[in-house]
Amino acid sequence: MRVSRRRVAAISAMILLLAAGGHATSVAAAQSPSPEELWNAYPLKPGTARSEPADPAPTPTAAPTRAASGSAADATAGSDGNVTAAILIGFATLAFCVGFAMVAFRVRSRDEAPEPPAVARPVAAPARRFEPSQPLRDTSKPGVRSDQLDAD
Amino acid sequence: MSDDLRLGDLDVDGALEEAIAALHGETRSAFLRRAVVGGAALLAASAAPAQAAIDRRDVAILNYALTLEYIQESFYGEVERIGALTGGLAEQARVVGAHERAHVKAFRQVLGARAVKRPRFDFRGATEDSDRFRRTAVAFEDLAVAAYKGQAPLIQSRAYLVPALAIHTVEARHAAWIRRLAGITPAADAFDQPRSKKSTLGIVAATKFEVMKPSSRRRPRFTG
Amino acid sequence: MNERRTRAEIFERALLTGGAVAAGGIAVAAVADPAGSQPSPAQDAELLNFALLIEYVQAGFYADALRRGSLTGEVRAFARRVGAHERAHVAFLRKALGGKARKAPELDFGDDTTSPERFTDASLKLEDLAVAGYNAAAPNLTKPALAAAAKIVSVEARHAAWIRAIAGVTPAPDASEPQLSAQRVMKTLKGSGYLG
Repeated sequence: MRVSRRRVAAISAMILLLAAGGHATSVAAAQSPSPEELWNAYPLKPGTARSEPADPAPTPTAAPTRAASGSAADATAGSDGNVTAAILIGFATLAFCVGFAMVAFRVRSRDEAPEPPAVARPVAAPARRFEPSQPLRDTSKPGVRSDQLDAD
Repeated sequence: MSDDLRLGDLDVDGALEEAIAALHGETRSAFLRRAVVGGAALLAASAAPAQAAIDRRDVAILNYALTLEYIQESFYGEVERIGALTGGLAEQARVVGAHERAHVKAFRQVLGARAVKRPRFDFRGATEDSDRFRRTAVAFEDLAVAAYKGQAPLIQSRAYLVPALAIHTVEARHAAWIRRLAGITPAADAFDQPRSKKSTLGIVAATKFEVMKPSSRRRPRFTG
Repeated sequence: MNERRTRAEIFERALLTGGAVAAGGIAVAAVADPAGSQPSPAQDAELLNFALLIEYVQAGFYADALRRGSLTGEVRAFARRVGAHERAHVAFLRKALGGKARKAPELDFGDDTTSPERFTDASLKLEDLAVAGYNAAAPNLTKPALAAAAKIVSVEARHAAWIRAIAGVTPAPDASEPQLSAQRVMKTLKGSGYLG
């Protein structure tokens, strides 16, 4: 049984999209500290171990700052380096839906409306606020930071 | 707190009558110990561009920075070696000295064979007497801040601008630290002013701290 | 038969388009460096507005703390002098930005200005963060803007060292400043809760 090259390419693309979407989501969830966590931990001691994202605040005074006492932090602030991945997944998903809709509309006008094929839905992009004025890419260079909580 | 100590007032021979108020002399030694971390990694990381490619104007700026760092490194190093200071001053000299050593190391690493040699210095007692140490250290640190500030807009390569700015503010921290120990306000004005290379090196020369090598003597004529 | 083949083709075509867009996007993102692009007056405005926001927060913080009246001694002298500096920084940046200056933000400092301990803790964070913010922005500024920013950032560093010394923490924790991205600084600032 011969499998067309186009079909192989299409299936590969689908796997790529699903894997990328899944990875971005899990990476985002695991690595990115909340703004409140960043504030509480700031400033970090130089030489603090990188493996501790939940490093307690290094300042000697015991009084917690406002953020620590539970006021609402900006929950929708996305993490730095994963905005790009999420946006790309979003675009890819959008392209997929648009392409599908456009051609399907043309087909429907010709044929009777068939059942839609069973399609594995791509993973939805995690909801993030995208502010166009913000640069997409965190341009900090690796190796020149001692900030321990950076995701990338 | 009195308001200011003017740059260039390196009164190396005279004695200034100043009431020094000891403020909060207690230090957290654990934090200070952890503070002594070399910042050479920062400059080393930006030594990625091939050395041959460094703009010659940037080389001159880096060597100028290295010169100022040599002075500070030697000054604080001698303070530590002689060990005449105590308490907060000794701690400041120890921590800041480690930073200046890291700066020297980083600049020498980046410049390689192009680095200027380390001069010899004679601080004529400024490293042993608390009063003179305070005055000299305040003048040096404020001078370093102004010098880095003067050069920053002239640096061509971003790879050197980033670490230069990162050192510039550390020198400002040093300056505020020693000013407070000297009983003068750590931050006098809302804006710090830049100082040109010519002006800076003029002030340094006026201290006569640098030991000049004797000029090559003419060979005596054979007379007999 | 024809219908099924056409539907499969739709699916494949859409997927390939999506995949191509994703691949292309990833390639572009890997090469492009928006925040590190060439300095320009437009980018200056964006970066100086970022600095202005930090200054607004600081100026508001010191004003609020002095209003509450719980500070005494050196801490109070610190708040008065440093507050005046931050006000001068706000005025300077507003003048430099002209019509492009962002408007003053709504600020709420909660309890952080009500006691010397909370004040000291919060001030320490704000001053270190200001240094980090200016140093993040500075390499991307045009030379004139860089010269101006340099005059401010060393004063912020003096503030930081001063309040650290008051708090009994080392004024200069490292030989060179930690490098944070502007995004990281902004996110940390938002974590304070002061911007609501």
